[in-house]
Amino acid sequence: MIHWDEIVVFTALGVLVTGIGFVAARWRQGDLDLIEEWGLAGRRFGTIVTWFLLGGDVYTAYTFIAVPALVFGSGALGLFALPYTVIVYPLVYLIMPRLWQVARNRGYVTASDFVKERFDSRSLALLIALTGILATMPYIALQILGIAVVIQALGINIEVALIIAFLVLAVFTYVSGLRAPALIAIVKDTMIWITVIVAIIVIPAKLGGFGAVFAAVPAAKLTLPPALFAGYSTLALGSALALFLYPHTITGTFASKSQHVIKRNAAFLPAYSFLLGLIALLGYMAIAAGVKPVAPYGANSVVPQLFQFAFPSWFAGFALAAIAIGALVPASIMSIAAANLFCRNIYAEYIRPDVTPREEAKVAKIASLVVKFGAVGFILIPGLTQYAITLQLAGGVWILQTLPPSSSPCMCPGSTDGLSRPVGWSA
Amino acid sequence: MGGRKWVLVVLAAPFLAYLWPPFYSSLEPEWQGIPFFMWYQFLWVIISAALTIGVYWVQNRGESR
Repeated sequence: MIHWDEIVVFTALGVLVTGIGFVAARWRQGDLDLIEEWGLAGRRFGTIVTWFLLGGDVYTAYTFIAVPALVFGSGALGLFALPYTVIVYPLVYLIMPRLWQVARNRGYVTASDFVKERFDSRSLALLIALTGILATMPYIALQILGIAVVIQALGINIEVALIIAFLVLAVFTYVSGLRAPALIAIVKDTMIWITVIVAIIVIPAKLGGFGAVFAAVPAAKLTLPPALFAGYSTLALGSALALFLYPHTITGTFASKSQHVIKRNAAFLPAYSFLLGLIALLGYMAIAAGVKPVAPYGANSVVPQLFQFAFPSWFAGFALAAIAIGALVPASIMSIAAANLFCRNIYAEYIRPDVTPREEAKVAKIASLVVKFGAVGFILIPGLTQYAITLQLAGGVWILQTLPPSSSPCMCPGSTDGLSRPVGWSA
Repeated sequence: MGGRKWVLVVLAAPFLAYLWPPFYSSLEPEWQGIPFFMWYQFLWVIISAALTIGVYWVQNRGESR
């Protein structure tokens, strides 16, 4: 069934965001033909913009769909998102400011730039770049999946809608670089906060209170069975260690204008973790509301359906738009980050060593298009979506291999060993 | 930044709070109908953020931004 009222609101917000994506090119103006401006917004973002940018970067549409889906299906295990997104911040506070400083002083755009000089190894830098790109691409595909799930709930043709989304995303990223997702993140994060706060008040009220929601869930799903204790904490710890090794979070961090910005964000980004915990609880609310998973997205379809059940159609349109826009922001940043890696650490390193900064930016812009194109392909070609999910999980393991103890030159064999044995962290 | 590095030890607290699930994986004691497993983890989000703010303040008071 086609939800016209929702579609109207959804489309209006989509148009707004597209406009913002283009206007962003003029925000804090810089020469977008230079890679530091296109790929890192000139390293100029202050505390508040960074809070929105990293918030939009870390808390993605896929997170909002998949975490409640996990809670819906497996219960308490899905709550791992809370410890995961909290323990990451002491690590950020301790490590990222120094990395930022070195990156700023030496003009590094990517993690691979850093590795090449710090460890004096071109092959290690190449491995880092390839790992980064490989780990990021399925992640982008999953954001597109998040959009697809929302589109399905609206009842319109998925292929057409995804192609429109891809075009919007591709063009504003090409034109404005990192400034586009940063500016859009402000809108998106605001929308998500509104949506979740309203959801957390309205939905339990509709279901008879929080107590009633938890009472409707089988007790076994409300706590962890002892068999999953180790899995829960290793999943949280592993994910936390991996998170800021991903190219897109490194990019978001390098775009800051000072160490203080990063430290302050380490203190204030946990607000989103609280939000994520509330989002996880949506999984339980879906159980209590009697929502049934729908093919082909299964448990991932639960959150959009819950919103449609609980909200008047205009607000359901708003909420679904929040999720879809919540996919565009990280998809854009991730594609920029992957493009930066390709351009600086593969193209400039091995293909055209005498590349000019303008050419660098051009190559990065094109690479970013290619990466997004591939991601959409993963979702539109039937049967490939499951691979995207598996690859993203594997990507998390691969990215962990780039943590310094495992990436020092003498352990290169260990790194490729990890690549060939992606053992799932989840139970 | 000075010699206030000791305060960083405080940042270990969230790890200790979260990484031992047997300690908090239970329904009781409930709060407002919410199982312990849930509200304990939410509470530690707030505590951890407060600790980080505290550490930042201790390390940076009197410094220009």
